[in-house]
This record gives sequence, C-alpha cells and structure tokens, in this order.
Amino acid sequence: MHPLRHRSEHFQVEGPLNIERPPQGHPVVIVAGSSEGAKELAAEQADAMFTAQPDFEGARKFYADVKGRMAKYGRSPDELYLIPGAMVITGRTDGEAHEKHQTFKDAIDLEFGILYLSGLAQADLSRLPLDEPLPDALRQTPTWSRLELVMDISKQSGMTFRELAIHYADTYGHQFIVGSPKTVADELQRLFEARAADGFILRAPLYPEGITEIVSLVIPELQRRGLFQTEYRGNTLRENLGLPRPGHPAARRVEAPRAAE
Amino acid sequence: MAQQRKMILGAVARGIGSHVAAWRLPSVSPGKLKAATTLQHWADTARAAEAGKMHFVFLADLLAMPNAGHPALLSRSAFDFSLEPMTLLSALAPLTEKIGLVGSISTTYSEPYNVARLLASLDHLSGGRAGWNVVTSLDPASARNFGTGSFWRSSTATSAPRSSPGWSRACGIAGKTTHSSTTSATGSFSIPRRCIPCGTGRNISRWKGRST
Repeated sequence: MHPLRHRSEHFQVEGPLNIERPPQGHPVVIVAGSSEGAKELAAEQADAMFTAQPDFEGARKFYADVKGRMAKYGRSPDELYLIPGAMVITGRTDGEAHEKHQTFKDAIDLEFGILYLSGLAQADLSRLPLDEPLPDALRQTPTWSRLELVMDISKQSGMTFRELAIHYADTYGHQFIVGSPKTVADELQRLFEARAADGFILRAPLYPEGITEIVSLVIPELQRRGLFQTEYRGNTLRENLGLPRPGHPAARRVEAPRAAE
Repeated sequence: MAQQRKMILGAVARGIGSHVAAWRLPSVSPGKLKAATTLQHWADTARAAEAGKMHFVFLADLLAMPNAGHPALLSRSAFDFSLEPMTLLSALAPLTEKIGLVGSISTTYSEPYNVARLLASLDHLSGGRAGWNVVTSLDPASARNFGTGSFWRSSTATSAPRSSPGWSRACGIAGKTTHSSTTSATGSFSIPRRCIPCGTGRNISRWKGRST
C-alpha cells in the first residue's frame, strides 16, 4: 500500500485512493486549450492535446511550438498527440454537402450572430449597418483585438456585417470542412501530413446522423488511403492510441526518474 | 520499413448537434430535441463512432449554462443539453466495447480525490477505456454556480447558503429551467428538468405551450 501523502500549497491529499489501480494505470490525460499554460502543461505531462486551430499555417506553427517544448521534459514529440477539432459536413458529392451546409446556415438567427460578435467585442454592434463591411475604426476599440482575426476575414473576403455575423455563428472559429468524402479526406490528409495535426476530434452539425455520415462516407476514404485504422489495436484506450501503461508512481519514486519509454 | 503514420480520430458527442442552429432546423422536431437527453441518443452516437473504429468519443463540459452571463444571447440560444460527462460515459461503457470514453472534468471546482475516484471508476467499469480532458473553469458564470472563488462578492447567487436546498436553489434546479430563468441572477442549471428548449427566439414559439 502506498499512501499518496501529497502536500502542496493548494492541495493536501493523504491517500491512498479507495479503489484498486485501474486497468490503464491511470486514464489517458488530455489537456485542452491553446494558451501558454496549456501548451507547457501538455508538453510536460499530457498524452494528447485538444485545441481549436482554424487555419492551416496557425495550426502548423502551434504544432511545432508545442512539440518543441517536450525535449526539456525528457519527452519525445511522438509521446503527445496534437488533436485539433474540426467540424465536418459531408455528403455523397460536394454539391450535396454544400446544400446540407446551407440548410444549417439558413437556420442561423442573425440577431444571435450580432449579439455574439458584440459579446466578443464587448461593445454593442447592433446599430451598425448590416449591408456594409464592419468599419475599420472598430479596430481602435481596446478589447477588439480578440476579433482582429474576424476583421481580417471580413476584409479579405469583402463580407458585410450581416454575412460576417452569420459566418461567425456558423463556424465558431473552428476548422470547418464541407464536401464530398474525397474533399474532406484531402483536407484532413493535408493537415495531417504537414504536421499540423496528429489527428482530429470531429464535430458534426447533428448527432448521431453527422457521425454516421462521417463513418459511412469519410472514414472508408481515409482507410483506403492507409491513413486510418481498419481495426482496433487493443482493448484499452492506451493500447489503441499506442501509449504505454504508466508505471506505478511509488515505483518511480524508488528508481531514478526517467522518461517514459 | 517504418509503418505508415496513422491518424487519431475522435468524435464529439454533444446534444442535438455541434452547429449553433441545429435546434432551429425545420427537420428537428420537439421530439428529437427531447430525445437528446436519453441514453439511447448518446449511445447511437458512440456506437456509430465505434463502428467507424474511431479512437474515442468525447464529451466537453461547462459548469454553467452556455452564455449564462449574457441574458440577451442566452435568450436566443439553443438549450445546450449537457449531461454530466462521467455519469454519461459510465452509462455508455457497457453499451460499447472498444471505443475510448473521454470526458472533461474541471479542476477549478473539484477536489483531486473526487476526480481520481470518478476516473478510476470509469476506467474499471469500461475495461480501461477512460480519458480525462483536463479543463479549468475561470468564467464568471461558473463561479456564480459555486458560491466561491474570485466572483464571490459580485454574485447574488453566492448569498445562498451552501446547504443542500440553498445550493440547489442557487443552481436553479428547484426553480425554473425554461426561458423565464435565463435572466435570473441566480444562474440556470445546464441539465433540463424537463426537456424544454431554453430560448425566447422567434422560432421558440412552437414550444412555448410546453413550458413549465
């Protein structure tokens, strides 16, 4: 029996836990976010990291940044999976997928979109003209930096405020992929092979239908390309992710600390 | 020769859908919205992902109603059906075989001993398929639901005693879960008492007759 006897500024836990050590040793640990703190914690301790990376270059930089932090903790880059989120709307053809997307877009409440952008900007935007682009003067708003990216999208695409409000509610700043199985697989493959991601958490617009569509259309395409497993490798989540079962902390205290194998 | 690197794929499961307007689709009936709190609904998503050999199903979590700090926004939002992740994943464990069961637990309002017990229990019950997404809850809306932390003084909810009835009142369980509670300063609970979409947007009128 190894009581924990944890003492720190914030926590005092005597232990031991009144449950036998679980099958995985301890559960797979995932850190979510994109902040400095999250990056550092993930690099040091996590098995995987969930993050929102809406654009390709940003995702690549983020990937290199986090993996680059691991060496100082005695870890190799393949001991942490970086798994950004991606919304997928698919259909048998690009046309069918875009049509499906349009039904969701048409259902968006414009006023919700305006309120949502107002919330991010911490300013009331409801009086701005809807059919013109957002005024550049908004960039002067002190809290507006959070929406710098949105402003840039607006400028580059020439979107009006109305279009932008709908667009933002539609995508919520996540990776957003609409298309046939080939189109979706192409994009996931591009991100994966460019080392912008080790995999993806796929979001669907509707459950369970959206996941069923991903599974019947997109996954076979990824499997054909040899990019995704056709069978589970083992029984536990660690086995299926190819992660080692962690040793008992008490054993680690006895031996000299070393990196996981 | 080195094996080809393969993708890790997980599936999000989240109420009716991850699209902001999912609940407003003409094809989404009140019955379907209501079904989003049933085990069947979540099991269908998890099993679909498992049929595709996906590595895990993932449940995000919030300790407050989404947009709870913004009454105008909340009043135009979907009710975001959100069952407590460890409870739900434990229920999904015997209904699935291989897929990983990953859920968020916030460290901000949980004691380490509780977190360890929940995760160790899920790992045992699922035969080693548990995953923990470590998150914090630094938003004021969450703080108002716990009567503690840095937002203590600014919240009227925190004046409720931490005794059980006071606590449940502060969470809105004993109060209202429909749109009428959304402007309440005492916060609203993110699990419905009855399955009623929480919103006052134009399209909500078709459910208004069902409000408690």
